[in-house]
Amino acid sequence: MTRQTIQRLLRFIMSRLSHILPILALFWGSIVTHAVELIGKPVVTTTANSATLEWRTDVACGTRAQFGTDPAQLTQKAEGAVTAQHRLDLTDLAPACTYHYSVGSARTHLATGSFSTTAAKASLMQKIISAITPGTAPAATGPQQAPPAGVTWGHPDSLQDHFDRHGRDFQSRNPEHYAAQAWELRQRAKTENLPMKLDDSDGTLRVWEPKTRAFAAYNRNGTTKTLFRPENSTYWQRQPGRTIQASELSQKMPKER
Amino acid sequence: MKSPTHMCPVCGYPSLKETPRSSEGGGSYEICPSCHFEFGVTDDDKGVDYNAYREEWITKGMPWSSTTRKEPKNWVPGSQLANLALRATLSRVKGRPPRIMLDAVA
Repeated sequence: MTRQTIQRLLRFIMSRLSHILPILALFWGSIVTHAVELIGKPVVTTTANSATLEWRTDVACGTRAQFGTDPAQLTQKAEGAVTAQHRLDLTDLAPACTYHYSVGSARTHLATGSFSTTAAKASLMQKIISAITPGTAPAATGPQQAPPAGVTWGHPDSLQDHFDRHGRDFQSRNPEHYAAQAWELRQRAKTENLPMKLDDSDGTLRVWEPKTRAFAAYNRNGTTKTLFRPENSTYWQRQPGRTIQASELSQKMPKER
Repeated sequence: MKSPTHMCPVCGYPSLKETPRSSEGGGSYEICPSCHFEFGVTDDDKGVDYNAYREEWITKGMPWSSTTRKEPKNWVPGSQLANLALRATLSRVKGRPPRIMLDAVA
């Protein structure tokens, strides 16, 4: 094929493309620039330990929700199918707790909001005990529930990193559960007088639970620094601080921020 | 009032919330978001010292390690290490003075 022939061919192709390209651009533009719109508001139904988020969009798109107890840190995620009728079930939530959420798709944020889970119901045994014991009010909840991680964890922005590293040690389901387990260990430290050491130089409390080999450290204000299971058998013995008893712990509890 | 920050003795990250070790020698249990060293665990439990961990982090390309805390804008890990080396030459770091191995950086 000669050079002239090639040039004529190219000119022919370009002349045809100049008619087609604007139409393609218009079509493509209509796809790219169409924004997914939310129809109405998300509807939330809650129980003590779960919540269901439902919302509708004008076109089918991905289903994604981010949620957490701190509105600035929605660390937990749930995802669903591509659809226009969106529904997500959030499980393993703490009872009587306020959660904040953001819904949308992977590319689009549609709405934010908050909801509160209901209080946990009294167990059957507690109801029986309160029924047969005169003068006692029925217990509204079971064993004391851990406050949200935003209250119990020392540096909330570090919780995910600690959970990623140590959560497997305790089969923690999520960062919130991991933080709750650390809080519960501190409660057991008080009730069972577990081995404890207090570092007076910075107020760090170290707790060791021999039967589970769980180690936790807490700040002076009672919030958690970490929870993990040491591999080294002499780890506890090498920790600094003076040995203290459970009776010295009563004033060191985390407070609402 | 802004809380004081502290430098990571492993990678030089300048904004740790707590001093890595207390005056009694206990770890802070803070995980450095830059290199992911956990003071009181990586050293006291795993037995990894600062130099060995730093070398490994450098060998891996000095990645930002935290999954939730974003790296600072215009973050340059080499500059972090350089600041750490400068501080180490000017004063002793309390608790464990790092001996910076710069061969791995070059």
